[in-house]
Amino acid sequence: MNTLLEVKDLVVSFHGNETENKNEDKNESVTAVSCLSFSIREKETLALVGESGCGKSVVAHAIMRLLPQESRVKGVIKFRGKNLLEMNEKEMAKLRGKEISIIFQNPSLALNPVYSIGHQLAEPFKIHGQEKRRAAEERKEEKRKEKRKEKGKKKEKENTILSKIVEALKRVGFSNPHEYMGYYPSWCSGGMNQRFLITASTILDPFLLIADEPSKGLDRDRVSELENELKNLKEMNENALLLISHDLGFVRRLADRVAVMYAGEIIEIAGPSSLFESPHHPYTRGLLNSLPENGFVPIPGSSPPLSSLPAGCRFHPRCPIKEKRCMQEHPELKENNGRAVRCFLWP
Amino acid sequence: MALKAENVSKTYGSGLLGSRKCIFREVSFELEPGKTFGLMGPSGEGKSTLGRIVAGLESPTSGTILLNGNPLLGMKKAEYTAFRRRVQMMFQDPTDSFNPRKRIEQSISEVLKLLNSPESKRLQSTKEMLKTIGLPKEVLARYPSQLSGGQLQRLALGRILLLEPEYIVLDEPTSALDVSVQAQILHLLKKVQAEEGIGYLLISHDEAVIRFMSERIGMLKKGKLDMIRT
Amino acid sequence: MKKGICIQKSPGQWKDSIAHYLNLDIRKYKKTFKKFNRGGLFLFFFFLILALFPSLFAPYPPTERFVSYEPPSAAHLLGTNDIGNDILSELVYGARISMMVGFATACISTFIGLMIGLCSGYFRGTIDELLMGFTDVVLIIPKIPLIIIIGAFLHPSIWTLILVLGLLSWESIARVVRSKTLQIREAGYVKSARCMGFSSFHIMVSDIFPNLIHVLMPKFMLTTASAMISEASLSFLGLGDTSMKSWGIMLSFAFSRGGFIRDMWWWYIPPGVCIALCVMSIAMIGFGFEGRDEKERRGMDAE
Repeated sequence: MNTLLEVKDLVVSFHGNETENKNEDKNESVTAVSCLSFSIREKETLALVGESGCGKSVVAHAIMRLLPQESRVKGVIKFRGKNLLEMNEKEMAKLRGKEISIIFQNPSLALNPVYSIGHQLAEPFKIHGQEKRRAAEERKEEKRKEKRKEKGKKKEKENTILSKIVEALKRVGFSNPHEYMGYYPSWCSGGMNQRFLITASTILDPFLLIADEPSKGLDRDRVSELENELKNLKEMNENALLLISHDLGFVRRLADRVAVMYAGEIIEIAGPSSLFESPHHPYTRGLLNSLPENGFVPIPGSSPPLSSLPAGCRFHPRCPIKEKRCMQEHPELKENNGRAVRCFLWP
Repeated sequence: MALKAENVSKTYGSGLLGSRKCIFREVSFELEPGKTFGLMGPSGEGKSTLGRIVAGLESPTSGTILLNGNPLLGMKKAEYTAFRRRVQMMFQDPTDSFNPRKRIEQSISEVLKLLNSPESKRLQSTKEMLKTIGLPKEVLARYPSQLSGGQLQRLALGRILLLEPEYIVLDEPTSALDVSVQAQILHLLKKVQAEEGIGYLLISHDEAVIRFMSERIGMLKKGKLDMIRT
Repeated sequence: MKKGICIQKSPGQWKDSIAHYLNLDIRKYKKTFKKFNRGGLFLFFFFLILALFPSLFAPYPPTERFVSYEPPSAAHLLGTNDIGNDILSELVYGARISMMVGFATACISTFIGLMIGLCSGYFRGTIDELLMGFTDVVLIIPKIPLIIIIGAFLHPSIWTLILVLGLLSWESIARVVRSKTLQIREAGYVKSARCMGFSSFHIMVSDIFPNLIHVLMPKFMLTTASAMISEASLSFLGLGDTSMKSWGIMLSFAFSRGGFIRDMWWWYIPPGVCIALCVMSIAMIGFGFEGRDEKERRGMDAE
């Protein structure tokens, strides 16, 4: 399988604008993501897991180029052979939604409340399907041509869009899509909105779908619903998925490979079964032990703030098996038959 | 010695138009000191509303809340003030549990001022509190936006502990936190309970959290409370 | 659809996606805006110093009389008026009165608006309905005509003007404060403060008020600016206090005592320019506050 997205040595830093009036970190920049490298193959689901503040959402935003102006991004993000970081805004806008698409956290907020579902689902076609240009040309011609003919043409096009939307809605399990297309987001439950949002993000069949904490703040029932949704999506469409989440159980059931992040760097990449059954990095082990099924055994201490990272291995202050060199040297991510670990104690 | 909810019902909406919506009907349970009552159920079933009613922040449509056999509704002002101290509530979102314009120090010392504790003792009790919740002294000088969710939730608990409550209503205390932080907070809550003998009403949609924490468990579903573990 | 998603993610990205659509760098504009704001501050402090220490800048006391209707000369940079007062001195002393009217009015209306908005937002229910009903009534009173009528009946004095303007321009502040209070009231720290037994007064003063300042400051500045404009227009209509010569009154005199007919531009242009610049500087500071508020919110969103 080919590599769809390759991220190499990605460094994202923010300049201390946000803490301006709190007289701390005034001129310092905070490195949210340091030397991050990973790749997603076609049709693969890669999960980025980690605690809040470890920089996993920043990665998603860096890929979509949606980071605020205060940020500096270095490195290479190669998507189907093109470096996204060298593209200008126009090219990027063409890519967004059509080739890379993102599902945001809160479905009820991400849908525009004043438009009907059908309207919002038709919008990606309008923006990306070169409809704009064609429509404009047609409008010019319209004056010369008979009106009736034009109308027929327009209707035809609308019909093709309509049938596509209907199909897409059927795919996510709505039995009578025509009715739902007239609905407004506020009429629907959160679960329905979530499905609409997924439909909207995938309707143009993007190569890569990014899901940024899709399960955060949802009920157990809704999470399993969402899980089925994403599973179906994976089976039916052939797009790759970058899943960003802190919910380990959710990730375990969906991902093909899991990358664990800690304090701005990836510390372990492995397949879900090997990662969950025999975690190598002590942080991963600690994380798994704090899961409910393992009896809520916490890791002592708390993650370091990104503005003051410890020297050496970033996990060493909390590590139960640390050695002397862990405090001095910074370990590299070492790859060994399909899994990679950033720890001295695992060859 | 218990905090009791007797036949508590809550309805929303005006009765005149006939659009009354019953959230739950005739719910009764009892919190004992040093024990945890776990309340679970799907969202939108009024778990939080029931929590607020027990904490005395909202009044029930019918039924009573009794603290040591003393009904909340008939309390005099002084009694109510005492009730306010003895029954506390902890909220879900740690990021807005402290005023963003105040340093933590200020928020904490305000609580101590409310308790009329003398100025000389304030530093001492703040230090003790920080030791209980396991945070360094440096956090006092920070603003809430400079602290992590786990630290803020610890501080929220610590601030409540300063009031020396008998019961705490925990409204989804860990659902906004990461798994490893969740484990830490749950252990902290257990430790505090063992030391101070506080009774908890733990509200959560996460069954694993409830089962881990509680001696008795109730399930609020379709307006009724079913006892699962007694 | 994509557009919808991007725009609603956060206020910051809203701006960014506009930039994406227009394909321009918004940072550049932000910088010029900042400079703009700095210019506003500079101008404002210039006028403030004029108002506080007029004797340092004015060549003569404002009441000293020379030859009347004199054109600009070395002795009188802006000439003299009908009764022979030096116009430059008048202008400098007028700053204090114009700005005082503006700020006093803004103080009164901000105070009233804050009280009413805070109470109705915090207590809600009947109090809210009563107070907001009252606000709506005040909102529909046509201000300038009412002041003209009051001015005709009362002895025209600067203090009545301040009072009437202040009592009539608090509605928008009250509404903004109310909606913000309603929002803050639901925040966790207010809920837990109530739960811990803090009094309503304490919560309003120490928890809600500090979080209102950033919406109050721009409102305060804009009210000041609009009060200065109102004062100038009323004075021009002859309803001002002639014993305290503000810029508006200078304009009025220039109009009624032959400044316009004789084409004495040095009499009527400087006060007009001063009003315009001073109001502009204050409004720019107000906008600056608003911009900072937005930036702060963005900082919070970026976590």
